[in-house]
Amino acid sequence: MLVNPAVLEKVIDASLATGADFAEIFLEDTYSSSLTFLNRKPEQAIVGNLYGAGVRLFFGHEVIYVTTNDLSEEGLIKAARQAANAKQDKALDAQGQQSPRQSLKLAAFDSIHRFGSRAWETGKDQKFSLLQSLDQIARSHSSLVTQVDAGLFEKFQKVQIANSLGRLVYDERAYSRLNCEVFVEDGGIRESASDREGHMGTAEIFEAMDKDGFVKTGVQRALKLLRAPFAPAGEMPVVIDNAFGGVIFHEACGHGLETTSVAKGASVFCDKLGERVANDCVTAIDDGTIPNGWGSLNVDDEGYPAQKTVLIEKGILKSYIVDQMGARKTGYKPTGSGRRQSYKFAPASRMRNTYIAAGNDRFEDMIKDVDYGLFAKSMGGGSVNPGTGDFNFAVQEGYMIRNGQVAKAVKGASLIGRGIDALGKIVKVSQDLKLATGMCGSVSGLIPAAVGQPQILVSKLLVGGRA
Amino acid sequence: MDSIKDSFQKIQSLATADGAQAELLIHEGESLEISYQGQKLEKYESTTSRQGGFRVLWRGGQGYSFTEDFSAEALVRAYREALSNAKALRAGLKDALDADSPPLAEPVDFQGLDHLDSTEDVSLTAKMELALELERQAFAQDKRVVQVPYAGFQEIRAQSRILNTKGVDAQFGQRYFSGYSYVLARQEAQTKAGGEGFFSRDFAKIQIEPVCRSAAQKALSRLGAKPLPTGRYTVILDKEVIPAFISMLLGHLSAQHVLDEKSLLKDKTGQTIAASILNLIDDPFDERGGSLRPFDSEGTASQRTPIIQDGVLKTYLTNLETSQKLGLDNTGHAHRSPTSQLGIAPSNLVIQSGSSSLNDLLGARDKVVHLTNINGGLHAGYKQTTGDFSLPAEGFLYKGGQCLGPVDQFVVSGNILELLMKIESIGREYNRPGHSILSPDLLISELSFAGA
Repeated sequence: MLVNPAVLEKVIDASLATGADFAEIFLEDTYSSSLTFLNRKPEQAIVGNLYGAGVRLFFGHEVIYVTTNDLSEEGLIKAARQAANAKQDKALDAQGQQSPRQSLKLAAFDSIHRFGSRAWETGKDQKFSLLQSLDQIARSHSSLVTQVDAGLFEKFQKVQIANSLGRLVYDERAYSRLNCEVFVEDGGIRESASDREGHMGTAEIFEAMDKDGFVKTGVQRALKLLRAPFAPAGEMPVVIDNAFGGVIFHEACGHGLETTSVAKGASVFCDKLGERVANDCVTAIDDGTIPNGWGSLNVDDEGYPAQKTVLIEKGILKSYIVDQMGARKTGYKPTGSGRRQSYKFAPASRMRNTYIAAGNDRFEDMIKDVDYGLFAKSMGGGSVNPGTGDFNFAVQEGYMIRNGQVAKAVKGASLIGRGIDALGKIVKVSQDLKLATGMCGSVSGLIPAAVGQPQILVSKLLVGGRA
Repeated sequence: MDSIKDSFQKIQSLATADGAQAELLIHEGESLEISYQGQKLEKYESTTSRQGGFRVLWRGGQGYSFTEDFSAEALVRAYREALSNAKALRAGLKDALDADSPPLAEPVDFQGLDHLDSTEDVSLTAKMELALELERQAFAQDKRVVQVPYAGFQEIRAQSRILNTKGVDAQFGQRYFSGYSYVLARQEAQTKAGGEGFFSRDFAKIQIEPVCRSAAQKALSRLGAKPLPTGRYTVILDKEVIPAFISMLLGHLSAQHVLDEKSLLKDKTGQTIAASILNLIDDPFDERGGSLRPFDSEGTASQRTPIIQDGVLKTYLTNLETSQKLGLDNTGHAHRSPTSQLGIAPSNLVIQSGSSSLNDLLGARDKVVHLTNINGGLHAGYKQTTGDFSLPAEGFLYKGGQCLGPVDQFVVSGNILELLMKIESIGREYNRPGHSILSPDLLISELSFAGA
């Protein structure tokens, strides 16, 4: 526990003084470490601490959020009063009914995650050796490698959450992530490729990983791009590879299913519950309960257990991604999806580990079905406007498909489309599901979120290459 | 004496004993965000933050740490962690040249920007009413405005202070107000988005109606958009989309990226890298800009820096260490936050204006695409290593100076360095204040478009 629950009860009382019907305190003590290796030598070592709290009040559908760095009883009560008093201003039309506070009762749970040693207890030398080995492996695979930028990022977060309904939880979360970007140059032409691995857990897991395989993939991709021509422009069938290929679902649909957009009517998926939004082959899941999963949580940042949520079942929209305020506004049940980057942000409905479930098709058959199209093997970042459903994402490594066979590599392709429209064009889903790690940025900050899918065939997408 | 100065002096003695040099960067701020949804308060977020970040130099190794606890003990602990990181890095350095510690800034006088830290008294009621109007007036513009999913007001007070063991102790504070209205307009089955923002250092001068009118007009004018046929077109890059394109250059202008073999502009100083009509200046004192600063993150006094003059690259942006390594002047562009490592960043980048009006530019060729909107982030369509971009965009198609209507569902592709060479004409009106990249409209001879 970061703060004595008896103190938190006083803070909740102070925050309810002007008629809020719900109060919550989120407390955080986070240690983070960032080590990077560049120019064949250790480049950067930053460690630090985030320490603060956020008080959130609901007055009906109105939300007030105030943060503080002062976790003393006086500091927390001051923040609580500031939040409560924001409501007293004449500009506000008081409508909340004050509810009595319930006594705090610790909700105990068994962690679904297994952590090794804590981040700061493994020596920096050992971690730099790991990064150095990535540099050496990359350079050993090709003399055209000119630079390697490798990084190890770790976070150990202690959270304590209490609310006026009597809910009290304490949890510890460890995250670690390894990045490696390889730069190659040949005849004045430069390219790069990057890869990453991450999980909820501590960094010693990377000692056991297949470092050679991890780095070699990137080197080979960068070398292929050096010689690849630009992708053509125009609409065509696209086969998207598994793992990080799942970013298409994350962007095209996932964000539009968050109640942050749905409750405002600012999503193309509004009022579509129970309706067909995709073909039978598409089942999509947002799962916060995968042990040691990158986007998993024991409890979300509102203090409630993470769940496994079926979003789309055989093409029918089954659920949105719902946080506490989203539940109030829409009437749907919360799905344990309230998340935030840190105490500096009020929570919002966010994705966890989001993926298209395994289907019945075979990858080989998807390729065979395409006369002229694109195989997007490695995806880059993506973004979406949930209001219009317009999304775009970059293809890091792509190949033309000609006459049912994977042909030459192409670079510079991006894929664009509209959410529901693109979802309806997924016509085949393979059996080979894989997940990958990403960082997702939205209203409540940057959070770890996994994406995933088996290989899929989209019958038509606009490929933005060179005309 | 203030408690931070007091703590830092103790740390200075420790550093001397350790044979180290130390720098402490403190960012302190308050932010208030208010937004309404359906005329009900959707969000009232008040955050206060204070972070201190140490950079410690020890025999060529640089280590960092940060903390939100400013007790004397916590600051000493943070100093020691940074020192331990510096030692860990030093252990990994084999190169004798690297064994010299990069220098710290010496104390100097700065051009004052004290007037930016306004003390104007604004009531909470006034701020809330303004936030409410950002939604209400957007709906009032046109009945086709069906949603205002994002409309909000923000007030920021930010203070930056830097102390180092050479005696630097400099402070800079500012306060500003900003806000936006973002609407969805619907006609038949098509939904189009449009947004507009404002930025002001003076609350009394904020006008809401023009912001809402512009947001609604942008969305409404995009209704009825048709797909653009694939091909190569002459393009007018609207002043509002230029920041997205110029920001692609930022990494390449950094002397650090030049040293790290990541910049496409390596070995290009003194060479023509853009059309001869292009002049790009870094101006930390241009008050229209959102990135004013009297000193950089090392404490070096800021100055105006011509970067591209008549198409020729004059300098990279440097800090103390990189200027020394490359034998260039220090341009005062060290940049970091308390939680990040020292890097390099521009202040306000300003493209010098030309003489053409937007209408002149739109009529300058038989067929042009007026590119008004980039959809989606650069992370999803720009590759820094090569300078290649491929981004979904929206705009209007013009023939003989006449607008044929809005176009969408296309991707514009090219390479940022090639684009600089293709600038044929520069407009005379600037984008709205508050951006840290200030530019007029630009006519680009040709870019590739993937559409229908």
